[in-house]
Amino acid sequence: MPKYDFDVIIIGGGVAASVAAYNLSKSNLKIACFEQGNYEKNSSNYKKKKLSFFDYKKMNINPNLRKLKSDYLIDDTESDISIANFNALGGSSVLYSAHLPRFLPKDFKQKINKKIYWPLKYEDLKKYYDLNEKILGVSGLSGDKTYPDKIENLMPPVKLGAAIHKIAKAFDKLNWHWWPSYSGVVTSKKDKRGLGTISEPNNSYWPKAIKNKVKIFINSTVIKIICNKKNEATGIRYLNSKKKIQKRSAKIIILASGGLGTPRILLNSKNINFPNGLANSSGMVGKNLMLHPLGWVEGKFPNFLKSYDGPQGCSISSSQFLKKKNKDFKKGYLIQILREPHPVEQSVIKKKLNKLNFGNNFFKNFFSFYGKTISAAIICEDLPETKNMVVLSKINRTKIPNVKVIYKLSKNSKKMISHGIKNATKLMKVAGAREIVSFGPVKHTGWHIMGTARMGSNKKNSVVDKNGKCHDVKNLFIVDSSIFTSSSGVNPVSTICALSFKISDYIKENYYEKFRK
Amino acid sequence: MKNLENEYSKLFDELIPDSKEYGFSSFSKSVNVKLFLKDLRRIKPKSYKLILKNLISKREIINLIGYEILEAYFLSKNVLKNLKRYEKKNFFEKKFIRDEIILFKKKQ
Repeated sequence: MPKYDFDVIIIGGGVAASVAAYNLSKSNLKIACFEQGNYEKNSSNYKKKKLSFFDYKKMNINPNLRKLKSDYLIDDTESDISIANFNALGGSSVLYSAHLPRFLPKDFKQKINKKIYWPLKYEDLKKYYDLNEKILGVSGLSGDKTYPDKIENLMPPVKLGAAIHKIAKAFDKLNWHWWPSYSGVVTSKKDKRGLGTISEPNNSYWPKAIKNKVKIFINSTVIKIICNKKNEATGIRYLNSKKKIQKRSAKIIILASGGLGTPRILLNSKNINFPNGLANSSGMVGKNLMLHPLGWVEGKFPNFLKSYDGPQGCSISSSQFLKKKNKDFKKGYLIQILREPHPVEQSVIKKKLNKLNFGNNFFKNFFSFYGKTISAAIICEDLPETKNMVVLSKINRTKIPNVKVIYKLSKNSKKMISHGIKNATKLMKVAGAREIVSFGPVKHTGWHIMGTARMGSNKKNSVVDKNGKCHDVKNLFIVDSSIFTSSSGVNPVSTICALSFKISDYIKENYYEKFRK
Repeated sequence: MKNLENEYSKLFDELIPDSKEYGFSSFSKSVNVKLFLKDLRRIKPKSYKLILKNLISKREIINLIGYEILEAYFLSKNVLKNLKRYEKKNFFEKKFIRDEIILFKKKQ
């Protein structure tokens, strides 16, 4: 029996990794996590947002502009939507708006086609959703009829404020569904993190995992997963913080590098048995990329409403057009109401739209919109299509190729965006907005990167089984959003966490003997 | 360099001037221009080089670093403090706080 450095190696340091690391660490295992970025704090903590100009620029959502040492170039010249992400411990949650709804039961029931469907049900994930809401810390209101069960482990909902209140009343007038957002914002005084703090892995799962002796290797970029002749993963090759190539071995390897990072590593780990990329006998690694195309409607109101007051992405949302069937398009969309961005972002947006000009009228322009705007984001369920994909591009300085994203918006998504814009415009008018601006798809919104190593029962058209285990490599697991079979129309973080919990539970239950040896 | 810094301070102030009407200070009174240029050197080295070569026109400045000027201004402590003051003076819609509690109760 060979000696291993660790029982489990986790590749990546985002939400999916943090849940798996924490859950497995409770079993006294020797666990190591390899993260290409550094330690970072969430920058969107709305009550404590005091950043210097330099630090603000460092947190750009676009890795191609940010160019930190941990970033790799993403070629999006053939993509209708650009990728937004962050590479650090905590992953993109370092920048997220912390909107944390669950997928709907119907998301797991619906078949993509006869052969492609989720191999698990909402009920299989229910207890893990509950657990995640308790540990990560989610605020909201119990009793939403979007879900069949009552969601119990919630802190009180985030206060709406005058602006959002106006929109809620408009939803009521139209007789459309709305509900306070499931928000990763601390609203309970009992929570030691402090009121208004954004719930993120770096103040929930990671501190617990580190306390349980999980070893974290920061600034360490995994280049390849190494396999033996029996098609078992035996370890990783990585570039350490001093830019030296090192090897580490483990009994189990878990990939948690996200919808881009996971296919990047699998494709780069090709060997004699897997010439097209590790675990890729189906040819599905990198394919079926889903990105949640987004439509945008902004309403400007006549009065000063302090519409920026509160966390931007966590106010109310409506599943009115997510649940209902529509004759014009397949699937549906969520309407998420957003507060006005911080003036630092809002001023740039307005400048781009020519609504803010420098010079003598600068302040007159600025105060014509400051605190008076509210937006509705239309988050469309994306369909998995093999032509939308992530492929490897040029080798970069870290010896691992960069990626290229090929993504074309489908006719179905275009129809859905138009439908959503029409309805959100109607909503804004009923709420009393005087000026309404709309556009879509919004280019820099590729936060939710899903489906590039999808889950399924059939090894011919999927990469992992219902337990996150690769069909081709029995001790290689994937726990991030790349395993999503479909995308739903809601933010994916809660489902990523629930799946990571479920998969790591499966590993604990089924590989105990292997760990003991 | 000092001279160029002064010239740019004047130019930046033309873009964001003092406003007695709204009670806001100009760019150079709110942002440390020396530090701003130093940060720019790290963030946008190409633009910084162009700026440093010669004093360039207002239009070119807007094209090169217009967004950065806005960002640095609205991150300034002074400006954020003034925005708070503006909020206190202008926000009157307070009735919703009571309504909100009723709204949530109805929902449940």
